[in-house]
Amino acid sequence: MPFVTNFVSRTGGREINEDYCGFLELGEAACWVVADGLGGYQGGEAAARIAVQAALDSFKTNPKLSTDALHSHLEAAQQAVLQAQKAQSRLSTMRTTIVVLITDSRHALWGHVGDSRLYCFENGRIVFCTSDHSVVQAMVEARELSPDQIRHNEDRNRLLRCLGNAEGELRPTILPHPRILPHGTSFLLCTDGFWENITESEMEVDFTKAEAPGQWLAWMTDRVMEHVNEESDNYTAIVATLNSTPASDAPSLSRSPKVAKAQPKTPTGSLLRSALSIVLATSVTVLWAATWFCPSRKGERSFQIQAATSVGAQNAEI
Amino acid sequence: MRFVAGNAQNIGARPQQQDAFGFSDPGDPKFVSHAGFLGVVADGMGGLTHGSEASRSAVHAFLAAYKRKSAGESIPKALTRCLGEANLGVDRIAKTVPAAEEVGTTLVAAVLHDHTLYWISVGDSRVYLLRGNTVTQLTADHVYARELNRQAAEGKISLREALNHPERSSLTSYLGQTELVHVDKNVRPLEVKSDDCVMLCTDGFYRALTEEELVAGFRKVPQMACDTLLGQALAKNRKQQDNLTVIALKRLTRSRFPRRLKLGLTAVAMLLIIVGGGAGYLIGRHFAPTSAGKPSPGKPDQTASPTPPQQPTPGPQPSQQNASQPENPSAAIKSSQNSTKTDRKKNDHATAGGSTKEPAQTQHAPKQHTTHAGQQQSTQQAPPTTPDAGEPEDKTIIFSQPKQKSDQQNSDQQGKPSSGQPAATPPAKPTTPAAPSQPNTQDKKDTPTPPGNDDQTGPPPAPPKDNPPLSHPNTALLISNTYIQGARTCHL
Repeated sequence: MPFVTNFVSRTGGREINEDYCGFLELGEAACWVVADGLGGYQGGEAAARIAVQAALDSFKTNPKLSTDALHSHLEAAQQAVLQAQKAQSRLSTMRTTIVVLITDSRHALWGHVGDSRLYCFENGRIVFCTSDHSVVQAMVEARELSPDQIRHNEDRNRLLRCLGNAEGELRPTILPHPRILPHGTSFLLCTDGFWENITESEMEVDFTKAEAPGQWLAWMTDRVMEHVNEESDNYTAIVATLNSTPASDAPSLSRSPKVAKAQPKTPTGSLLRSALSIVLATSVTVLWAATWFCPSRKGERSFQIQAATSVGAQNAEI
Repeated sequence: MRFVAGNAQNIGARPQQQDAFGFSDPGDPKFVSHAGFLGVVADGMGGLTHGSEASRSAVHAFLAAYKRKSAGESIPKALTRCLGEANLGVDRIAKTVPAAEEVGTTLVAAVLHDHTLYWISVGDSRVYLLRGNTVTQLTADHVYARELNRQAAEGKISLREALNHPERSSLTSYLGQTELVHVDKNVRPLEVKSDDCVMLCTDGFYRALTEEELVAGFRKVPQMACDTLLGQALAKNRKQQDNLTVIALKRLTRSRFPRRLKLGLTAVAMLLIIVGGGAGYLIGRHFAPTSAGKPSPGKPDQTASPTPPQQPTPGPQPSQQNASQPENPSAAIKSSQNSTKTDRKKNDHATAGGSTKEPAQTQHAPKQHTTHAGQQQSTQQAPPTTPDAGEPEDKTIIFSQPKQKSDQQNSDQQGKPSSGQPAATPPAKPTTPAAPSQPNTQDKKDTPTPPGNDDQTGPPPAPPKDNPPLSHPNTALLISNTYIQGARTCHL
């Protein structure tokens, strides 16, 4: 299997872990699922478990890499949750978020519902992040909030979409086309309890510290744990790393030309300054040359510098 | 490649300055090309003078070891080697004191090279990366709290127990241990952008400021950033304020704008001057009195055209030089004249030097350094006269006094290139400014207490299992907390 998978799923400051994660590898094809349940009386826990298992079962029957297949996995998860709701009245209010990643080892597709996230890294740099179906994210898109205000916002738990709504249709966000996976690609699928307590730049920093994918997840988990108190949410994360030759120096090499190109943009001030001085130099030259070639009495040359430019000067001369 | 650095240090409410810091030589282009620019900060612990001795010798040994880095040795390898050598030095000091007394030091070192950053850390001093409005902590503290957090997450102890443990801030790894337990470093380069600033600091500094305050007090010029942030930290007047040290490193882009653009601009300037000269000539001809001009109106182009290009050129040339090589000579002159001015000035000169061409830099950089070194020598006599930590209340005295110290160190480090024997001088000097600190009074430092538990000797992060079963990680059958459920609502 070309992927290495590591995961962590913990209760945080809670009694019960309502997160659930799972993955399935079928030769070259593989599927990873993370879900974060909500709904009282064990509902959240059940919803997340049912959704993940249904999605993985659906993937087992149809491990093809296509948006339709991915949609069918999400739909299967939705149906399973709805059925369980009907079967047990105490679970009728349960809901869950879900994020699913499928791959054939060369390409990958992902889709999600709710505020569980998928990050795609190439050589340790974040190249893609899913956009939450939450009120806060909508506010960011409406430019009422800046992206760094999502974490720890009061409204961050209010979801706009989730699995388990009987009346509403499932509206997952699915990547429209499979993404090619270059060497050094890794994925992080996580619930809000995880990504709230670690910033994107911290994820990237921890990547540079890790010699192995497992270590990377451990560093990130350390950061999350630093924020854990008795109020903290469950946190769950899966790191799936494409098993490739160690690309230790790749990031710096691939990035260096970009940085070099970016340099000219910054010194606009000095550019302006030099342009101004050129204009100044030119105008001085023009004036100076103008005086030089005005053959007249030497004593009045300075006067004529000014006079030459005005129309009145002509009359005076004549 | 050019770098700017800033530093600020204060004794806080402690009787002794046990922090130390230093920089590598940024004026040696050959060395810089493969080794970049290194900054080191250490925070010593131990009674009497042992704490300061430990931190200074660690910084000293680290810088000396890094000086010996060859082009073939990679930066992360060199950092690991230097850390080992620094540890040997501290260990030697630790062995001279009674076993009951814990002597040691934390150490953080960061190297800026091209657009990459490498760091290495032992203990609870930190490296921060400031980018735009965000600050990212790069190092993980080697404190017992991490171990406690992990145990709580695994269910070995309760979360409350972990959060209220009295030894949370005890160090689990520091220099002075015979074998280093934890070392925090990056194994892959971390990319830095042109405006990024790397900040190294001791716990006395970062405990006094929140991350928001770090961002708010940050300034573009590293020296200004260090000064403002230290000022903010001191303004809080915290009781038991530990020694504070902060240094900042920043990379300057090689040139304000690329050479090709410069050439293009010069060419355009020349063209404009020629065209302008011609235009001026024509204007002159046009307004000239018809009687005065002997050459007939038809011919002037041939007779006069050779002259304008010759004569205008001496005029514009000086102005053009000024445009393309700004402040080249003036920066050096200014820096020598204004050497008594503040550090801010110094940085201005450094940035001004950064815009010049490379050969010029190597000449100017030593000039700056020598003048500053000279200035420091003159001020050096002052510190001993002012009582060390005499009035902790008086901010101005305290503020300026350690600053002189830090300046000395800085200038000593930077002064190396001018001295001509860079290899021998650098490490020896950083210790000298420390001399004024008094070798009396037991130190009250409380933060780095020895590790209270043997558990931390395990490998730092236990990687999770590779192929886990699909079972639920925590399948408790309890009724879940309704308050928590209520927190998450879903609307459609």
